[in-house]
Amino acid sequence: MTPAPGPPTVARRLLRALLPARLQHVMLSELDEEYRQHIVPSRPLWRARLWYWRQALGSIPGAIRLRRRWITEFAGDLRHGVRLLRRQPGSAVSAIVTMALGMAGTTAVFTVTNAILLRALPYADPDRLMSVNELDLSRDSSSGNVSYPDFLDYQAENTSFEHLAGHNGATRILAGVGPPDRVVLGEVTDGFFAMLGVRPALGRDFESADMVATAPLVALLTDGTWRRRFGSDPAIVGRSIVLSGQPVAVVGVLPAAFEFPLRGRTEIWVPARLSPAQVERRYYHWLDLIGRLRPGVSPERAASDLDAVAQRFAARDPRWHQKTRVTVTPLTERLVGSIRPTLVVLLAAAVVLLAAACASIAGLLVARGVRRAREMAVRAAIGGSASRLIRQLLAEGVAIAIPGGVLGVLLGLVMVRAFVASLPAGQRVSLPHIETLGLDPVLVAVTAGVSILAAISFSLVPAWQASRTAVAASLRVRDAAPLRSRLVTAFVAIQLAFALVLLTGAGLLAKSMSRLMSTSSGFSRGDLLTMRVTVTGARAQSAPALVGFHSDTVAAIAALPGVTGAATISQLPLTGPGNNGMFKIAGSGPTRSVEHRTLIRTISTGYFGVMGIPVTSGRTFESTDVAGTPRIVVVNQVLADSVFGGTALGQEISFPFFEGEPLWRIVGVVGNEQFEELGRAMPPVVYFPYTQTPDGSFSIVARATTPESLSQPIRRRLAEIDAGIPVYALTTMDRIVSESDPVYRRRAVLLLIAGFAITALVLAAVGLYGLVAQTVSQRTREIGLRVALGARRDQVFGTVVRRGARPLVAGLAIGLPASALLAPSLGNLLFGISPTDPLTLAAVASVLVAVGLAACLIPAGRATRVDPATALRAE
Amino acid sequence: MGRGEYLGEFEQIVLLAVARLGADGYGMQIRREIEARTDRAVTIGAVYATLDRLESKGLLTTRDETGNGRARRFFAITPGGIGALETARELQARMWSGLKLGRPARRL
Repeated sequence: MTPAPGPPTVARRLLRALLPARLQHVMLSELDEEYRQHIVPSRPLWRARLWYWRQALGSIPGAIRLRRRWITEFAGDLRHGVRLLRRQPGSAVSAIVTMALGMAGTTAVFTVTNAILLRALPYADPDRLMSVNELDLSRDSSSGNVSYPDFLDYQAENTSFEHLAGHNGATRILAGVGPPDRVVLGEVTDGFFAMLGVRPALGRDFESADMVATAPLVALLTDGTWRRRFGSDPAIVGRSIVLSGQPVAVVGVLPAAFEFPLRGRTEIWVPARLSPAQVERRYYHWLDLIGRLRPGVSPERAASDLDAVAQRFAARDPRWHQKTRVTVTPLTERLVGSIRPTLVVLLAAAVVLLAAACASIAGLLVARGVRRAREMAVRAAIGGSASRLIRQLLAEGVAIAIPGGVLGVLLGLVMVRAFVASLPAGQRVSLPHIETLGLDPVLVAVTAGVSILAAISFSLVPAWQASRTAVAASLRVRDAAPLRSRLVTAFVAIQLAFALVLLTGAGLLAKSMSRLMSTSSGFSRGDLLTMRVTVTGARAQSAPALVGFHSDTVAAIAALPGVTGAATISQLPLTGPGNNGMFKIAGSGPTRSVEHRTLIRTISTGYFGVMGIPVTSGRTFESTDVAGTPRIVVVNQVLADSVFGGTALGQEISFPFFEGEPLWRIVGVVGNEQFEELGRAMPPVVYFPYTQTPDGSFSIVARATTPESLSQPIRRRLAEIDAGIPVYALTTMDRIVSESDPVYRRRAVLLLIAGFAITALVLAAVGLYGLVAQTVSQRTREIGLRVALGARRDQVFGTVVRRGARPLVAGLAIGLPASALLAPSLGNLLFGISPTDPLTLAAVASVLVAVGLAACLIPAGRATRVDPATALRAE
Repeated sequence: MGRGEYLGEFEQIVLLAVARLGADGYGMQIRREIEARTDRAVTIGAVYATLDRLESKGLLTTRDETGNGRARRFFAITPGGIGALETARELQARMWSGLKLGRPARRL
């Protein structure tokens, strides 16, 4: 006998799809069982099948009702929940606002983190793109750049990369489009954009023929430059623009989505045109190298491959690269590696805030649960099942979480916008995806998920409590209250602990910040206006003309009303190490052949006076020190001490990069000046007089009573000298400091964590207040009785404050060790302070105690005013 | 069951079928009982949708049995369910009490 044929597959599948999971199995099984009874030899099979089909199709409305039941009931619960919340708008609003604040911080920090750390770079197959760096282990610091001869060897001899290409920065004066303006250029070697997988949106990419020194000059514009400077001219391709006097043909426009944060300010890209020095000098490291790995090759293997190449060319020419190592790091790592710890700190802070907000809402819901114990018990007594009651509370949680979450996401977006707006331009362009930061659908989904999850989790504790109440007889409801009140105490203690953790972070950062700002930069930073000038045209070609323009400029600015002094320097202090090189001490003897590294700056006479840098010995530059008079330099104290043991005056030094290596006599020693960034060790510096080493580009510093108001007069005055010379980067020294990476980064993190800490503190204070206030109102009768029996007011007061002290002490007991444990994760954001600085910990702990006690005072005061007669009569 | 909620007609029929079957009433059995007594074709989906609602009102309890490669869900009426049926019958009785329905005479 063949087995009975099964029921119609399609009908069965249809039912399976429609029925809710909880009934699917049993209903299909019962239906199958009866179907088999319908199959009898005396009747054709199709009648049984027809019967099954009618059952299946006829069950569709029922199946939909079965599914809808849960939804409609939940909607009913939700409506009920909203009604209940509206009856107590205060606690509902505070819960929603709490939720929103917690979510906003998380949304904002996560949006930024997602953009910077997690989103892939906008290149084809970005995981295979590597930053290639050549490190000279014989030096303290090296840029990691390679020389052009090195690059050619790496390119020819490596087996790990599909392609290697270099880039470098330059600036030119763009003329003919509005007033002459300085633009930042990116110079690239052959195949750079193709290697990234970027194709121009308009026109064509550079070709190998464009790279040849004799080929016509060509350029690619970034989308922003094309829009801003050229009004999105659709006929731009083929048009000629003038860069520092040379005609250059635009061959294309890069796509709008293209960004290259290593050269974030670049407006125009050009093929690298090499100077003879760049082609020949193996020790001239200027090219920043990027490579695309062959599929399957690891960065480590590529690094050892390039190391082998470096060893071969070092062996061929042993003068250079004896201690060279090549590193190969993912491009992403190079871009975001340094900011990652900061973002991780922020993310952790946001998570702590969210957790504090959740604890706060859980506390609110539990407290509501206490007040609603009787309602729950009555519902349980008339047959409301435990799951039904849990669902009701869950619905109330969702009624808080959804508006709270929506509000939180919106608030978070506002915070993100504010954050991006507050970023200094330099920071903005050096991070990927920041310019286009916006709402990410994935992020919104994640936030919504977190918001609903939070609702469920913080509903569960009261719901669990409620279900326990349901089991208890309604008369014994009061028994559950102490347990719940312990829960509320625990939640308040947790909030206080979280607030303490955030406060500690904020306190440590604030102290680091003030220590950092009070470190000496060697010069007086206030009231300094700075700007940069680049000389172009015929004037730039002749040294006497440059010197003439330079002295005219300085004199003109110094003569402006409100200016007390003006001077120039080749690169401003606190803007990075900049130009540096090696020097040798003239004469003979074993120490004389050692090379010493130093920063190199060219200054005008009067620079030290304007900056307030003391001359410790010898003299500074005079107007009589000009081309043709003996070559002289001034060094700073660090260099005088470390190289000459204090006897620098009169010594002569030489630099290999000067034609013929002439000797320079040290005529003065000055106080140290910080060129890199605040908080670093002072670097050694050699100052050259502008008159003996003139250059077309220099920065002006002007000491003035109101520096901001001077920018227009200075522009006008310089335009009178030469309208074709652009003045740019006009700013104050204070602003340079506040936008510098170490200061800006600490301040941004400090502001955010301080905001989080204050939010958490307010939430915890409200929670504590609620707890104590509720205790007072619940125990009014008891207090009245005690007062009637002779308790003094201060005893009553003490009892109530002690009630509040319990979570406060618990909060401190959890929060202090947690802070000490977490503070080291602030890492190098801290400056001049230990992560477990006892003073800071004591200070934040006392802030917490003060706020906590303040929160107890109002209800405690109310308790002392309880009138025993009224309190006892009320029962 | 709160005030103002009445058993619907089909709810009464299903609940009565459960009560009639006693301990033997599983889903399909209830469906057949209704078909047999009312002479109406009833689908398993309609029966289960109503059983589910009655259960959520606390008028029924359920018990699942699996074995022999089949699964069945047995239903039993609760005291609440009995009360609801009695209320429904009483309400009907009160509404019928003293009422004589004659078809209105057609006027010419």
